[in-house]
Amino acid sequence: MKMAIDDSTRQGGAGADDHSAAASMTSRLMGSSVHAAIANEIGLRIVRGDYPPGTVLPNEAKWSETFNVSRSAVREAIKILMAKSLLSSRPKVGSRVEPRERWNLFDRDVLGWYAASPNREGFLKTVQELRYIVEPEAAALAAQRRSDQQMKDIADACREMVEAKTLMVRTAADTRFHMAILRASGNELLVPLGVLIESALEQLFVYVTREQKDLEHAMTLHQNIEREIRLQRAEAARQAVRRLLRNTDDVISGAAGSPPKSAI
Amino acid sequence: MDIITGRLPSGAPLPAEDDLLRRFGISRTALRESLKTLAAKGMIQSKTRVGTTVLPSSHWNMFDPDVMSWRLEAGVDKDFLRSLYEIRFAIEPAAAELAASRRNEADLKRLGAIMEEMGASEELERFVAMDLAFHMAVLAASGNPLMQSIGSVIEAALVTALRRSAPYDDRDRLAATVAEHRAIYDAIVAADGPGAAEAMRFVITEGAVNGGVMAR
Repeated sequence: MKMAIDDSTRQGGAGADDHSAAASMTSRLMGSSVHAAIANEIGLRIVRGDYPPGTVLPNEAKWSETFNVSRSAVREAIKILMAKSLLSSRPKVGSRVEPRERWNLFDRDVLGWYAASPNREGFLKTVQELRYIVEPEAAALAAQRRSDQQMKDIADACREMVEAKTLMVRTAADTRFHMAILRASGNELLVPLGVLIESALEQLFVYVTREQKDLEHAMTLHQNIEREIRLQRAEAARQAVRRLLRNTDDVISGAAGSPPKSAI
Repeated sequence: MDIITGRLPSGAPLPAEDDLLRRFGISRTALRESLKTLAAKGMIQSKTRVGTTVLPSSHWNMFDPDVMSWRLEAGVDKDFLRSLYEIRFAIEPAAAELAASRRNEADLKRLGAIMEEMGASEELERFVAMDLAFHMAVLAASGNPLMQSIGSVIEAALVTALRRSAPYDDRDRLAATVAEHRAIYDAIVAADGPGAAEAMRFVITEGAVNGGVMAR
């Protein structure tokens, strides 16, 4: 089965063009409102370290001038960033960047800013490390607890991965696959971790080889997970997820230092 | 709160705006801001022609501090505690193992200070505070900022669980609990990853048993 690769619609990809990545991410993440776009610009600068934790941001007027927008748009943007715990605001002091350990890392936008920043690779390693700890357990719980409907969701996503005609469609199905497993774990505290998986898979998009046999191998690993969950074998499901994640890590480190493989 | 306690069940439509205004005695703007906030936290959803409905708990952003504290306020049931202990078992032993190899001088100092305070705690709230601080410090020492974030999120839930499981009336068991935490600390100092993980698993198990979440 030959896959047509549709790179032109890749979103926020890594590589030389960070600016266009940020721009495409703006429209994807935030819709078209001005204050959301400003929040995106400031958020990105904070996450990549332009304003270290503890520093006070330039005031409203400065931002308003820099981006040529109204001060109320800037104010709304600051409110958004405060809700994500990147900033705290005090009268007369202004907006101060919070210590990193306070940042809400389980926020889709914050994760996107990390993905667009120079420390993206280090952060991807951090995310993968957490996935390696959490996802095998989630799969084991899913094997024991999944309802028929949840099993169907997992199986459907798996099949959609096999049938996908572009890598983008496949990545979307991949995300749904992992999310379905988290939901099937029956643990409401595990489900919010899904946002990390989503972010990781988007970033991993860059590393995914277009080579047929590697794609097939990865597909088999997913199908193994699906089977163990269906057969309700908790330990086997755990091991199957570990094998998939190790394969992903191999792909990442194998590609380290070399540019992403070009499209077929 | 009505949503959390289930008085407004999943799928149910929200009462009409006017009814809500009358009930809470707030302005229309304030109500609209509140509804925007609830939507951002994944608790309600607005669709044209359908109106606003309550979303099932699987959609709630449990990692939002407000949602978490409302959930705890509504009462901590067995399912929630079980979920909490499951995630603790998944994450904290691994964090302890990482901490054993990644910890720096500052981490060791902080852990040491917490251990001292824990041993000297004379009353429940102080003990629980030190217990919490210990677990948070281990997560921080793991070197993975996501671990720390998870810790911050479950912090409130953790305090609730720790309060229930602290064997406070029993002097001997309290001393034993301190000793069990010290075993984690010693393993981290000794850079013994597997030992730290094992000691952490033991502490969490004891907590689950004392808190009535697990049978011994």
